[in-house]
Amino acid sequence: MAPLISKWHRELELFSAVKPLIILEGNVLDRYRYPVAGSLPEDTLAPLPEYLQGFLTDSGYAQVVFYSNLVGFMNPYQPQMLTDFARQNGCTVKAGAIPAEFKGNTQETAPNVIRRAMAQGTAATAVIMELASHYIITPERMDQHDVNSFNLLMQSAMSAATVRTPAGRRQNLLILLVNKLNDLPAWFYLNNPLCKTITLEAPDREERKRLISGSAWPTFFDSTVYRTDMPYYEQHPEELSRLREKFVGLTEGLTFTELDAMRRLSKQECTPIRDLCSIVDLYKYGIKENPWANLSLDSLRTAKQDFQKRIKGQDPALERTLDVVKRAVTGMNGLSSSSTSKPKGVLFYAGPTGTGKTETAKALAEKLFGDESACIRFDMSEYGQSHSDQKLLGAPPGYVGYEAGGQLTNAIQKNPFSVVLFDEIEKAHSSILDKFLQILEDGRLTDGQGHTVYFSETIIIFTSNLGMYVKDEFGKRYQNVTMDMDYAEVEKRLRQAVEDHFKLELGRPEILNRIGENIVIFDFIREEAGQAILRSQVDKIIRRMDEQKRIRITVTDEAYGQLSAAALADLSNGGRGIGNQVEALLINPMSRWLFDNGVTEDADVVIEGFDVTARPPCLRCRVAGEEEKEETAHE
Amino acid sequence: MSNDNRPRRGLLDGLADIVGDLYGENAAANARLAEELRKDSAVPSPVYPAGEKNGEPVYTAKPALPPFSALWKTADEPIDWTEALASPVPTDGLTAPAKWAMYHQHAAAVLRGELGAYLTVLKAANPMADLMPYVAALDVSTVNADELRAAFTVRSDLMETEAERYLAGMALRIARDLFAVLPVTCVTVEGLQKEEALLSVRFERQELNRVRFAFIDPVAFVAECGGVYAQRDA
Repeated sequence: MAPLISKWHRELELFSAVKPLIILEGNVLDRYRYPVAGSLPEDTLAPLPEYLQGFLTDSGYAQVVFYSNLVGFMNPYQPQMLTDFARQNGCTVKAGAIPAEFKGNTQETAPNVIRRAMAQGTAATAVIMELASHYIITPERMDQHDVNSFNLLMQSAMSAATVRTPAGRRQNLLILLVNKLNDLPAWFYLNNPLCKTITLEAPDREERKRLISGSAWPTFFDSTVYRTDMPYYEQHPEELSRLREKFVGLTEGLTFTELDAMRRLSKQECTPIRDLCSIVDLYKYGIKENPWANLSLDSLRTAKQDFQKRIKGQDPALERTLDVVKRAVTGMNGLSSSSTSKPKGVLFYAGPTGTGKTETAKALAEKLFGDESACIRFDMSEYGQSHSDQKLLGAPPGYVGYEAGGQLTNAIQKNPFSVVLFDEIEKAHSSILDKFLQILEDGRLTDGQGHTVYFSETIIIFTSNLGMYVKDEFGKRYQNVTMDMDYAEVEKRLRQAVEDHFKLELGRPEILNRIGENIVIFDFIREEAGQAILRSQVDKIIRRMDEQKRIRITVTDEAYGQLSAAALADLSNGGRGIGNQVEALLINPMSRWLFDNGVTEDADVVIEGFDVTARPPCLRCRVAGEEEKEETAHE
Repeated sequence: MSNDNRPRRGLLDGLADIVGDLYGENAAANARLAEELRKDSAVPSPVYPAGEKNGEPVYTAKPALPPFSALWKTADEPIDWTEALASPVPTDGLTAPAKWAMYHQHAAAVLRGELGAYLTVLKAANPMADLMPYVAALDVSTVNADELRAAFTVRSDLMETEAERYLAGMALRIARDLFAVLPVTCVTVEGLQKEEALLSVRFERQELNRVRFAFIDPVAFVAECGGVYAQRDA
């Protein structure tokens, strides 16, 4: 297998020959895969300092030393190099290190020693300054000693000598490892021709693929598992290849340190080769049994009928929703993208109020995860302020509420297998939309406390009433869709309005792109659906009264007709409007009648009619076998 | 995979004598050792010269053997063969480089399930050495790539009290040591007395992986694994 050399390694190789000052910034606390056999075996995952030790030694540097402001100069990998460095630069090794402060007035401060070491031309020397982000408090508040120290480092780079080595000419080298470039004073690196900044990123797809396919592959498994499982995969290389591809996709954005932890976890748990990917779940969520893998296909086959019992008159929307679930279950949701870390599905529900958007999300959660409470709902009207993102993700360190974490990140950490419902998304502050972008693209968020939560096992649903009203050219609001339009027209108009909102009003087409074709339009509740909703609500009330109070209610056809005519008179408020009418016309008068007539339990009650014009509305009712009594309990 | 019909090859024949020589250089020491074992206490640490300093011999104590009652609670550290396969140098920071080099040399063959490699490794790693004071003889053989078989001849003096505990504890410890050294899935252990099997038990690695040895009773556990005890003469 040809060596795979990371971009930053190639840059280091290139620029260490021409620039005496190199700043490595970014993912410096990670481990890295050593690409070629040399001082370290090929594919070894080594901490960055050890990697650099190997790289510089293999490049011909005779002296490599590390500096930390807590310890001084040291070399835990090749102590002889430290001894040679001390002798060369007139220092003394005490307890395995050359003590040296970062700043001060003496000639023994680290920058002074570095300047001497960089200027000498006898032994090719590289000094690596670890944790260089922490030498000063902040670059904005440096005292004169801080400034002098960085000046000396700059001078060291200016006076760096070139040395002849058996491997060729080498320039003495100063390397700083920093978390963020702006942890250093800007004047130190900006417009500094001696300096090269190299950014270390999390391993890319190729790096991860190499890790899982190279010599480290067996180390992902317990010895016995590897011995017993591997012969099968040697016979079926295509399966092995698929498995590795899936693992590579699932580990997007993870560092080598995290991959290494996963490797050890897999070994410790004696994970069979076929279950390699389950280790990603174990690492991310602390569980091995992924509910997605345990979904009953039979149950999904009947999902549409089950959903129709709960959500009436929205067949096209239910169909689209289930399409997304089917894609997730069949593993086809990642086909159009290289990442499998993205959420399992993203849906954008738009449509009139009370048409079943939230109810569909709840039904989906129950179907997928067996419990309606797996639907985590966020009312985005509560996140309308510019600082609302802190409510979702947690306050940064030092701010009030830091300990509490973020509402969204806490919820997902607690329940990574869920349907996440962002209700009325158009009411959220635009700063929150950036967070959504990250969720939809990377499938993860890091809260103020540094905990990363993953959305790769969730279905994300946004709901919105966008497009119900739009403004004309004079800024006057008018109703964009009405009950007399058919579904095709409603869908066309609402879809257009949603697209216009993101593209034209917010200027954020990228969010729309992440949602793709998954905008699902809910239709108005029409007559037939309204009847079904009313029937289901009345039946529910009758059933509950029987179960809880043993009061058996019968509604005569005539009474039901009156109720139906009144409840369905105005369908513009959808199912919620019907519910309100049922409460006003049936529940309230009924409870009043039961109370006034002392019927508390175990009775047969017949509702014979409604007077919906009365204020408040009342009903005609009797206990079976008794005379009819009109409900007249008015205050 | 190898087939089950391969001849069983004894590996540790005669090893008991060698280790016996190492641990008890004379009859008095043997007697003291037996007495200590009978008392169910820690075996005394044999002392042997480890070198010289300023012309004086330096003695160092061999690590104390665990008490007989707790022998099965500990086991050798597992050899990580997949790690050894991947790296020619120790990756755990603990294993001696020479030992690791031996592991690295044999890792591929061991992970292919080659019985020859199993035997070579058993001979080199010698996982039973520390158990020899507790048995009269011990023999390990390969059955196939998945299974090892071990037979130990009991020490009559240790059978006088708590015979079942002794048999079960030894069987468990032997199995644990063998699982630690080779990637087999099961180990069958027999406890013998005058060629007669007193106990025969087959341990599955998966079962042992689940067990917290500090909290189990070896007799009950061996019974759970289907261990069969022969009726002993009064």
